[in-house]
Amino acid sequence: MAAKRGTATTGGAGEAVTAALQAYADRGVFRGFRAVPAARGCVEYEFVWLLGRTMRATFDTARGVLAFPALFPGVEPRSPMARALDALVHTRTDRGQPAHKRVDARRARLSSAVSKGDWSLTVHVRGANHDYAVQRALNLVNELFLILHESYPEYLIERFGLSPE
Amino acid sequence: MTKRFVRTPDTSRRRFLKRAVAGAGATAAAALTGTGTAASGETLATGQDHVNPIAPIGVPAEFAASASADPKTFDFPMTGAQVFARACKEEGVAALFTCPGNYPVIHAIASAGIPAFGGRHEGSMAHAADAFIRVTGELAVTSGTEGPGFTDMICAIACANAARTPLLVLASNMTIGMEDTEAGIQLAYQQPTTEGMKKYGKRLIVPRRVHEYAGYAFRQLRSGVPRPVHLDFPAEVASATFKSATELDYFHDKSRYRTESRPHPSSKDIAAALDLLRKAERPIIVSSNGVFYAKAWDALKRFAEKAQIPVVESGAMKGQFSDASPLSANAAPGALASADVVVLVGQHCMPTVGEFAFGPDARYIRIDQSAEDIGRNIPIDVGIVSCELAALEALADATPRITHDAWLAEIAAARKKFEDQNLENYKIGLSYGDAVHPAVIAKELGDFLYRGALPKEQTSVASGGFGIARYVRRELRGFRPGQVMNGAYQYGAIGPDVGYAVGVAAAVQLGVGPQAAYKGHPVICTTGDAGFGYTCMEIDTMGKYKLPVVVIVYNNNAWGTWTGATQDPRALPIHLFQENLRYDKLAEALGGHGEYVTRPAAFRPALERAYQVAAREGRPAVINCQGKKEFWDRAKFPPGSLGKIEPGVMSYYH
Repeated sequence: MAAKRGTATTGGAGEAVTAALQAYADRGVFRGFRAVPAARGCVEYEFVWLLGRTMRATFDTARGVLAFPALFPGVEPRSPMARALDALVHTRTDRGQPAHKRVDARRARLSSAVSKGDWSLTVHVRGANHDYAVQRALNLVNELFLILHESYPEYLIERFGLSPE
Repeated sequence: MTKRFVRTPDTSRRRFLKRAVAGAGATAAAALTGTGTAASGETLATGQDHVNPIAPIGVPAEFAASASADPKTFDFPMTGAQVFARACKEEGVAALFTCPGNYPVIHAIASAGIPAFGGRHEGSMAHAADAFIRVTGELAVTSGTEGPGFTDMICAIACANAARTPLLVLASNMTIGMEDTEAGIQLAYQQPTTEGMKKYGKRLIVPRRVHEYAGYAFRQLRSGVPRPVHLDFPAEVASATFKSATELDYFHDKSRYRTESRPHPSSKDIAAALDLLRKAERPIIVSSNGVFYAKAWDALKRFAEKAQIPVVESGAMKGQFSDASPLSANAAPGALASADVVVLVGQHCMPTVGEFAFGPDARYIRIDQSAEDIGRNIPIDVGIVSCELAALEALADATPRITHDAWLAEIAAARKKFEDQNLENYKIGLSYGDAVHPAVIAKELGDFLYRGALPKEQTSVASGGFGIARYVRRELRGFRPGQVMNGAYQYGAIGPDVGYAVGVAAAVQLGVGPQAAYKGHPVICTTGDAGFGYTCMEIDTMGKYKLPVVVIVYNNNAWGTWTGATQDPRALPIHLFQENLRYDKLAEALGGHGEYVTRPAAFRPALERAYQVAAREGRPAVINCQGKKEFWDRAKFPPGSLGKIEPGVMSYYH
């Protein structure tokens, strides 16, 4: 059974992002998908995905910004882990990336930052590339988690409840 | 003890105590090389003024006599135990791993000519049986006495259950007639105890049904998705006597109580799978347990090569697809997230979403014998209910030749990046000169096994440990089926490794299944100091059965969990051992060869010496690698404690 469809109706861009995310829920990648209209034309999303934890995202319809705020909480700025995460984001637009991974800056622009200890990912969607931006962002999030699985398991143990065994 | 005393002028109690501690290892080593310490003048005090020669460690003559004794062919009249042992023989059970207990049954099985290994702890021997099955694909039996022997096996049964191993667990001694009375000792309700960790279980009650229940057991073990089967034999059943077949129910040949027929895929399902695969740009096959037990590795190779689909392995054993192939993605974790269609074949222990590295856009084809399980955890796009062999053959026959050049290039680039990272870890590890870093052990073990004088497909490995495993697995490779036994696997027990090594070594010694071409060669076991402590007495078992195992112990004086207690000084000692323990000396005291390695440069020569002892003398060896627990501290000793990405060489959860 498909996850319950969100009720957000915030115009074409918001609907496009919601529909793109909903498609993942419909395929069973996400569980517990919710889309809730928020202030100033924003949409807030919640879904259970990696490590069985609730992940939050927002889409600012006015600015065309899809954000994963506090995707990784408790991250020290300029720490090796923060640098490793940032590096993956920054190299995503490199020409050396395989085409299916590369983010075309004309369609979406990626950025990451640590604020108050929270590492966040933002995607500025250019034009009507909402499906594209959602798809690239989710694949990137998956790979960000893989960096942590391979090299920083203690962070996932402490912050995401990964088994210490 | 001999009565011939030898008087030596400088004998004293102090001298004896000094020798007893310091000389134990040399004593053992000398004994097994034929130069017992008695011959070299070592003596043992027996009283105030007398000493006698220390008898060398040796294998009793009964072992040679046992090996030359003719097996028995059981026929009527037979006891219940003999009826069951005969069924085991006819079913091709390849080995028994046990401790004393359940005597009529284990004696009958051993007498029937099924190779029998008796060890020091029922749990270890049950682990050995699990490992034996995981590297041969053949059936093995484990047994213990009803109460403590049986409960000693619980962890191993749970491990085998998680690993989906067709392990036959037997136990009992006590009688139904005295049930509930607490008369005597060791009575236990067995079947409820194994609830949730078996495919089928039964306490045999009616003696005449003993063969019928052998049929129940082997039907379960030989079909579908395997898991342990647990039978317990009260004395009334084991010791019952049957004069003829008429006194037994369902006394049939195995061809009458089970079938070799297997589910085959529908053409519609195969077409659906191929349709998805034809559209895929970056497909990948995950080969797991089911491919091994169905002996489907040739079909897997044919399908993968024809459709140019990379293969990555998961599961309780590895090597079904050779890492020498350019299609192997086992050591290419950085590419896995790119896969757009994933074919899960025989993946019985299913990960949940996110536990495998594949990205959110991946579509899934799942091939499994159990329709009940398809769709669990990871939603499917195509489900194929089939024997893995039949499905892979059908796919190989039907697939057009396809090329995925760009995808294979991405796999190759990821593989190189992974290997470069391993090399970088090794260089960092070498720079820590005052102890042996796990990256050094991992890299040099890989060099020794795969890039040196040994044929790379020769050596089977029982891969275990906790922190050390995170490094060693990155270097272990499989080049033929059954080459790597994937340690504790999903149950995550930390202590079975030396027990596992008994099973792997027994399989290689006997040349069972895919080990046949490598019969008699030494095997490697990797473990940590925590794990070694659980099952290290099985070094004796290896010694007495001449199982040539090189056990590499990463000794960092601590459980791998210590880092989680650094902020709790009162709790921290829970995670620590005495420092610089001499596991090598323990091996020597048990008749093995010992090496103590405290510097990186000393590891490879020690490995070569230990391997030579194992190969030449058929003797186990322990290489005690002295590390330090602080190596898990990334800030002080990068790269620190490592994690893992699954599937592939690093995987062990699924």
